[in-house]
Amino acid sequence: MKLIDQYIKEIEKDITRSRLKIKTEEVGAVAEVRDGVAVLVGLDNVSYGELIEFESGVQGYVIDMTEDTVGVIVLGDYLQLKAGEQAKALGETLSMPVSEKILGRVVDPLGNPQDNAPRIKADKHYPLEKVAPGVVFRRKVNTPVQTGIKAIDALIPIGRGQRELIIGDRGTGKTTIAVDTILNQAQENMICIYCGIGQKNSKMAALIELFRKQKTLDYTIVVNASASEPASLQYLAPYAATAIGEYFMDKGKDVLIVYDDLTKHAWAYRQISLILRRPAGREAYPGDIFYLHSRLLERSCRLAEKYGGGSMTALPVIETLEGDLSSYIPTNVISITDGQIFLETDLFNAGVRPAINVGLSVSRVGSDAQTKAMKKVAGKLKLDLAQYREMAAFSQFESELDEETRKFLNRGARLTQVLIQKKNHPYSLAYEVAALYAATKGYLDNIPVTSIPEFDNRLVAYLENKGKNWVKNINKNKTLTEEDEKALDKIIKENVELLT
Amino acid sequence: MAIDQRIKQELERYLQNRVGKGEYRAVVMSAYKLDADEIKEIKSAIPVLKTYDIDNIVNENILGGLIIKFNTKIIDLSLRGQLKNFQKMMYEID
Repeated sequence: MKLIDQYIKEIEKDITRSRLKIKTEEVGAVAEVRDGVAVLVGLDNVSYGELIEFESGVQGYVIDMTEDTVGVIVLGDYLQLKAGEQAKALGETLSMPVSEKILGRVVDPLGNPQDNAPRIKADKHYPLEKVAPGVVFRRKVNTPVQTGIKAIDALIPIGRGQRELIIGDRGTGKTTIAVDTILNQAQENMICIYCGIGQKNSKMAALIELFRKQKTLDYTIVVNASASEPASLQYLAPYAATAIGEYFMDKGKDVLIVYDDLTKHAWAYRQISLILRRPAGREAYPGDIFYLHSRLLERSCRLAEKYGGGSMTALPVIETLEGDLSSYIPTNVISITDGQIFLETDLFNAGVRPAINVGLSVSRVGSDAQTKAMKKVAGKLKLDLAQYREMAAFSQFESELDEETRKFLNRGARLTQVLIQKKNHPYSLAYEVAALYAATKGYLDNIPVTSIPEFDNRLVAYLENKGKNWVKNINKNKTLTEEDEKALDKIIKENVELLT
Repeated sequence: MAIDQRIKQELERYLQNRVGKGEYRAVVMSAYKLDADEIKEIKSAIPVLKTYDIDNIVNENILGGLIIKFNTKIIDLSLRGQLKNFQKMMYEID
């Protein structure tokens, strides 16, 4: 009874608030219904990006305006539309209803909940399309995003406010890298947004289940436009996710946003453009396919102190075919982002997982975004690995090589082995530094390569039990002092002895 | 030869648009036939319509009130419209 009374009171409040006003609305009629796109006549004074409502209740988004007609992408089921149906312009641009309560929710690009929970009460409405912050509003990127993946944090460090592309063939672990990064942000004071564009429903369900189990949903939002959603929603999904990110960024928070993946986003936009009869360019993509991604990714930045000091780090994902980095969409997005993490099938099949090609991957922010502790161990690591790559071809002639070369090959093999880690098992900063310190100082040169995973497990277990203080120290101060090094030397020597 | 009534209407509308007069026609839809006084009241209440010629069409579907259409604009003051808004409002609250 109480619930019904409350409900009726809410309705009363809303009715008394909305008086009947003499409001002029623009109308038009549906002339053509194409796949996901409706062409309307009338609507003379409508603006680009305005929301339209059809008689049947479905909404549309103005995307094309010609002399006599207006092209509208249908944000819902276009099969319900009939020719001649009336449509009204709502006078507002498409916006995302956001508030603090959106954390932990799964939403679609229009803000509708997809997780069987009540609607999100909006604190503000953030527009989906927005001009990126200008030069004056930005600040240099110099704080790290701890991905929890040794190879990335050491060799291709990502900073807060950077855009780092994750690119590779199908099945090479792109989503895994993004998901592991999100899993590692539990203690990092970072809000994460995962935007699934054209993904399989089963994959999204499994992902949401993983987030729920690992308590990641406390600081994560999932924006979902799966493969069964209309192309219009797949096209808008990344912008909707960015709008949510901007809400938190404007509050001074740090945001991590993953776009998985932008290849399917480009396909959805291509579909819409071809249906609107826009001229097809290279690979049938429309002429503004670059602008589609550049205006999206430019909105991820680090704001200056004066404007809140928040940041938004973007991890877009692109799928390549046959490792072809020089195809149209990959080259476009590579030129937009501040670096890429390149995953290779060959490495994946050889057991190197994450299958990161350290030679071709780059981070244009680099060591500016590394903690002092990591900088100490990473410098040597990079050099050793580079030398190993140069001599890798000679590894077949092992018996005929000189001592120096054999040492390099030895060290390189062990470093590569140390960088391998299990799926969905991100490491905290202290463990990463410990493992890499052991490898770069040569402590592992005398144990067989195949025992390195065991050493890794032992080290982690030891640090978890007896090395708690050391771990806390490193994670707090983020530097490696003389004493820390000495303590670590002792710990590593103990664990190595157990394996020889 | 007699011209079909519908073709005549379309032709009239097209020619009036070309002449420029189409700009100044408005359609007022009501649930019952309006008389001259009521139309004068409407014209005074909505200043935009002062110089417009008004066609009064009876449409019982709107249940009550008025729907005023001119150019591509519409002013929906009908009972049906209000009920639709009410329905939408009810579903939005939870």
